Amino acid sequence: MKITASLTSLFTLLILVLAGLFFLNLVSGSVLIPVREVIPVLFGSEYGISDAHYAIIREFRLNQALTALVSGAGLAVAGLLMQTIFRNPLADPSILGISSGASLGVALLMMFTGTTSGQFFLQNGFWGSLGISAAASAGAFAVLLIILLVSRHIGNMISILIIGLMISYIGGALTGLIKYYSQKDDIYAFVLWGMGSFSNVDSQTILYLMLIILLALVAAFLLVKPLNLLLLGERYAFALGSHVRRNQWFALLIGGLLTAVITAFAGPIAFIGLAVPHMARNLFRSSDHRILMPATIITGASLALFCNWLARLPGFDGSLPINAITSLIGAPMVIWIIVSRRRFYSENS
Amino acid sequence: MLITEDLLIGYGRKNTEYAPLLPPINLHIAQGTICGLIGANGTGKTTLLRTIAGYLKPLGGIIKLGDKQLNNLIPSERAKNISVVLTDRIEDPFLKVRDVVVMGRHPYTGFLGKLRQADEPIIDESIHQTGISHLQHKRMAEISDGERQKVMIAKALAQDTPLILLDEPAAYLDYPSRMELMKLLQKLSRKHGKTILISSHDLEILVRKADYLWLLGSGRAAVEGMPEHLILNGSVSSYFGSESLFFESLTGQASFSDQADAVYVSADKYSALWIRNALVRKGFRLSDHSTSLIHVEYQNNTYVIKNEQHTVHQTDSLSGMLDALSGIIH
Repeated sequence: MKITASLTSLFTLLILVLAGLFFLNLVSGSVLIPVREVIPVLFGSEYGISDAHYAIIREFRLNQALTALVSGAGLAVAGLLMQTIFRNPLADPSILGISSGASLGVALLMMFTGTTSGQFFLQNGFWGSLGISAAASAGAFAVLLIILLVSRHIGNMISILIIGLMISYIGGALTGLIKYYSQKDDIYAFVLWGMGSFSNVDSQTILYLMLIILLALVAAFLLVKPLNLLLLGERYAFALGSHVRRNQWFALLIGGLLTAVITAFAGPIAFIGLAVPHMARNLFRSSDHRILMPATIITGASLALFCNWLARLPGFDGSLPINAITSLIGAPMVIWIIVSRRRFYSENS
Repeated sequence: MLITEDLLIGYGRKNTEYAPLLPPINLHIAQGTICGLIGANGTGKTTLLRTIAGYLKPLGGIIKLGDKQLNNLIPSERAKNISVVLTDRIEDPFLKVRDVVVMGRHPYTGFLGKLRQADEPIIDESIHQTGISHLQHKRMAEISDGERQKVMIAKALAQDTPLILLDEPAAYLDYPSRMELMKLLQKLSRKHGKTILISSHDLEILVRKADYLWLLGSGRAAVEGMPEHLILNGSVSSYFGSESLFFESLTGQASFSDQADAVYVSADKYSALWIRNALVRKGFRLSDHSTSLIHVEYQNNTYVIKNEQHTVHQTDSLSGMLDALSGIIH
């Protein structure tokens, strides 16, 4: 990889776009807060700014923007890892059944603590969102654990892919059964969770979330060389001295961890993990993970911020479900990328 | 030099013993030569190649390359001793030819795969040797199968290993591309001292271009030798059963010369054909006149070299005859 001028300028441009979208998220919403007020607030200054504006930014918009930023970056990297280790352009973070595990966890919680069982105390407020995060984490990590244990015994990535898909179906079926026996209110609450949201994380939790995702991203960076070798296929990678199984396992661990943590706090966010690696590859016309890793981080964060901004555009009643926006933007994007690259895929299939 | 000692190959698991595919394998390849690994489908060609490459553990015995025991090497060391060219397709849409050759240097690069200054000339040289300089900035998806095979050989060269293994390298190639590939491999073995093992069921091309053959037959002990030797002693027909298929195609391939060092072969028509084939590959000139000074006579499995009617050498080994002949002529 040579650091060329065009590479540098493309990265600079992306970072500027990211910064722009971050500010846009702080400025815009049901109340427009001018940039000249936003910047001092970011540095903790309250001078000359109304309490309301200060509170909106510090308590809500900043947390939400940061959650979108790290979730987008994390999901995009998880998607990149999955696509490379499964050598499948359609792999995404949900492919291992982790999101479906999280959904099952949340469905169980809502059924046993909601109106269905005659209890109401976990639906709202701080304990409510903490409970939902805990249930989603439990479900997500249970599935991740199964996948990691299974993959130690079955080295074959295709088998793991199929097992992950089957776990998804089982999780989906159990969730369906629970919904069937649940009350309307609980189902509605569950559906809302399933739409995803970047606004459930408070100022304290966001710090932990950022730290965990940062560590996982650093770990992912350490895998760039084995990931690049995997572009030649497992057998060539092996012949070039790579510990193929071990590296695939680490990639599963990091990708799974990112997905589990993000799904626990933001719900199952669709399409970012699938679409962003393709966007990054097309943008940089490269498959080199030393380029793709930072490129997916920045692009993923930008796309999540863009979708979050779109969801909260004034004029909509409250905010739109984030999952609907990411899907509406992500799906056509994937179609466009795949169609424009059809030549390459059909030649090699 | 690659040597297998009582090597047992097959698929086994930790707790269960599977019967090895073949009797203990004791074969070798001299350094700087091309060896063809041939046998009908299902005789264990691929299994043997994969065992040497390290994909499969031997069920018993050892594989040695020089004084190193290959089956004990850690991955990073193994990658500095063996490189492979497989039939696996590379499906990435953005990977360029040069990127693939660069990957050959990765056994020598650090944690993030950053090339050192010394790596660039090795990559350029590998690209130059394989004649793909004009392709290096093309995508892998844009080049032909023959070109792709050359790229993978360039990658193997960049890996800078004494041993190169090729699994069915001619699988997707037409006849001219196959001949070109073999010429390239011949250059690499002669000029760069690479030891090359090619598995293939393309008997014809290996008989013409390989210095040595390993012959596998299902359930039988593997045999080795120069291609013509294995044909003349009947091994090829007994293991493969189809040499008559290309017998015809070889007649008339040899061109004759009137120069003083040209060799006249005197033998029955069938044997003469193969002896000529060996002579041509080793760079000798052939004569079609019995007035030629140097004669090679073959009768009752014995080679007799005569210089101006005097017997100067007598041997029952083809390679012994060729060595003696080169002593006389060069």
